Amino acid sequence: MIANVVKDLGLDSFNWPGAAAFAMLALALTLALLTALGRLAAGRPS
Amino acid sequence: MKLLLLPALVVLAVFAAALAALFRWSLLEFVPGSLQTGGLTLANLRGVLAPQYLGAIRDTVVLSALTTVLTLVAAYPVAYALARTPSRRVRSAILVLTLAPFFTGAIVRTYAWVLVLGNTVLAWPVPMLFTERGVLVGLVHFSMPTMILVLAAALSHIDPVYERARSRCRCRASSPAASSCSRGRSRRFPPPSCWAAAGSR
Repeated sequence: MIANVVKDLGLDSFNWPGAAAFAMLALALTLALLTALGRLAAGRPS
Repeated sequence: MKLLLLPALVVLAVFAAALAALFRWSLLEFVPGSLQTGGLTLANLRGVLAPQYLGAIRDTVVLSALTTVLTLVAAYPVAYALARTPSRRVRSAILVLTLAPFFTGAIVRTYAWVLVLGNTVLAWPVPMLFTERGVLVGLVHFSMPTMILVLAAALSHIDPVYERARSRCRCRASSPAASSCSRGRSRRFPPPSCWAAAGSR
């Protein structure tokens, strides 16, 4: 899962920029899913 | 009146600053073997979609989708009972049982699941601990209280009269009045996808 990758990159490899990039990806995925769900519930499929 | 918005704006500013810092870090170059970072680069954002990470992204999407569906299926009957039961005692019991996980820490709950999913308390026919099945069980348990409360709140705002009218419409589906009945139903009765979407968020 993405959380494990973030933990591995940030705390084990000290690759903080990589961990931050994965965190941004997780945030973008969440926002995209919420937007799609909101449109679906409103009856306006995207 | 505008002064009342000030605390909310401060909180928003803090969150925005944290997100901006995270975004800035994602654009810095990683120097292996060093805690220092280099200049600006897009390599990190490109590296996110590298083949070795696609499995992790797929697992996350699949697990979150399964968690949402299973939580919805498991939480809906409980939420319906919570919203519709006429007995105050039953409502209180459901509410206490629903809220109980909130009063225990996440780590305590996780270790409790380690005991349950391991073969110390129960003998499972299939391995549960340290598998995706076990993770799914933990995620569903974690999400259920929130889903139950959100669904119950949404269901309690729907007048039971509409549900009775809906069941009558089903009974008269073959009658000539069925089309007007379904038109009336769609106007007045919120589609279940609305409640599901509210809980899934």
